[in-house]
Amino acid sequence: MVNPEFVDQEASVVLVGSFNPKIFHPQWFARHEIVPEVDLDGADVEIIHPEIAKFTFPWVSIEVLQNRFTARTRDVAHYSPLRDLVISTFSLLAHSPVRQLGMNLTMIHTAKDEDSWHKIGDTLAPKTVWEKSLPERIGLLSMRVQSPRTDELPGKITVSVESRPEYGVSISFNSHVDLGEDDSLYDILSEYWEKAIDQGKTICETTIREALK
Amino acid sequence: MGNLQTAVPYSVESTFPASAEPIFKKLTKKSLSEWSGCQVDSLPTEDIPGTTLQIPKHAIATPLKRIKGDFRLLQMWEGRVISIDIDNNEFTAVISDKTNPDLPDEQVTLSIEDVPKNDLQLLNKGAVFYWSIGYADYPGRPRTRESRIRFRRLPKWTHRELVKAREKGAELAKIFSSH
Repeated sequence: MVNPEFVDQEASVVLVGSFNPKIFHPQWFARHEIVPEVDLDGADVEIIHPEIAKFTFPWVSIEVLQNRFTARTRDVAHYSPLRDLVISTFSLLAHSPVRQLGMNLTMIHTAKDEDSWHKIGDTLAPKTVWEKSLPERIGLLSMRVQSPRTDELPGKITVSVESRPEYGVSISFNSHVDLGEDDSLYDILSEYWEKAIDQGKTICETTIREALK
Repeated sequence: MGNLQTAVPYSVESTFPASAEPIFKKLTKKSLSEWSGCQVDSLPTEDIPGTTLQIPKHAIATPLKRIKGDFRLLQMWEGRVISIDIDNNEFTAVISDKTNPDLPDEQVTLSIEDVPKNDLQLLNKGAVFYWSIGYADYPGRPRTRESRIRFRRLPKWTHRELVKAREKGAELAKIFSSH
């Protein structure tokens, strides 16, 4: 069984809740030793504002809205430090209400040619119905499927597939958790982050492999 | 499959990360005009109520773009320090292969020189670190094989957490001693 090749990937943690974006600044992270001082050298601040904060360290980008926190990295070697950064941040900001958690993985596959590219779309979304009414070659742009979680956490698993330029296919996996008042973000991320990434990787690989059979 | 487009509308309530939405669309016109030309020189901190974090003026900076590059991971381990030998400038750790979790844990000895300067203060018995080996590609440079060590950074235990942990420990000890 050969696994399909992926040309790029990104992991992210998304939190939905209530946040104060102007708190989030690269120096705040360094001051609290969430990141080493050396990361400040490569920090790139796009905006810090009461409604939004957006900046990057060399290995992670952070965006905070008043109702949404996102930390993401494309560096596979930093998936665990990404989790640690979120755990540390919200251990310090323990009073920030967080209602939902998303543990996400996006993997990008490039098909070897146009036929393989269409095969993926046609297998995932057969065009029989559409061919009766649409005149030309029908292509899948995006689709999203959902499934309940199988562990004890409340939430769902969502997978989305999107076409990309140059015969690319992006598969995004979202492990969504609804958090109760007594739930600990620290505990959930510590226990489920690696499982979510492994599950996401398996789903992305299986989807492409099966679609190309 | 067709051109790149997103048929599913972006939902703020979703915990999906994909947001191709331009950043300024997320701001109201009013807030942008209020903010225009402002400089931020102190930020409130939530963890220490009533205090502010001093930061340089021009918090919204336009620094020089850093050199972009890629790191292609070949192998990664998670390690736990079991001993430190200052005299020989090395430390011993048990490492688990995260690239191939089926492989058994191994004990290795690494040079303290391999630890980034900023992480030396974290090098203690029991400390967790991530060790990765891969190809580093930077524009204008030949591909190099790099070994990177990064120590885990987690918040220190607070007094309240320690008290809570002791209480929980005492509670568990009571349960086990009664059986």
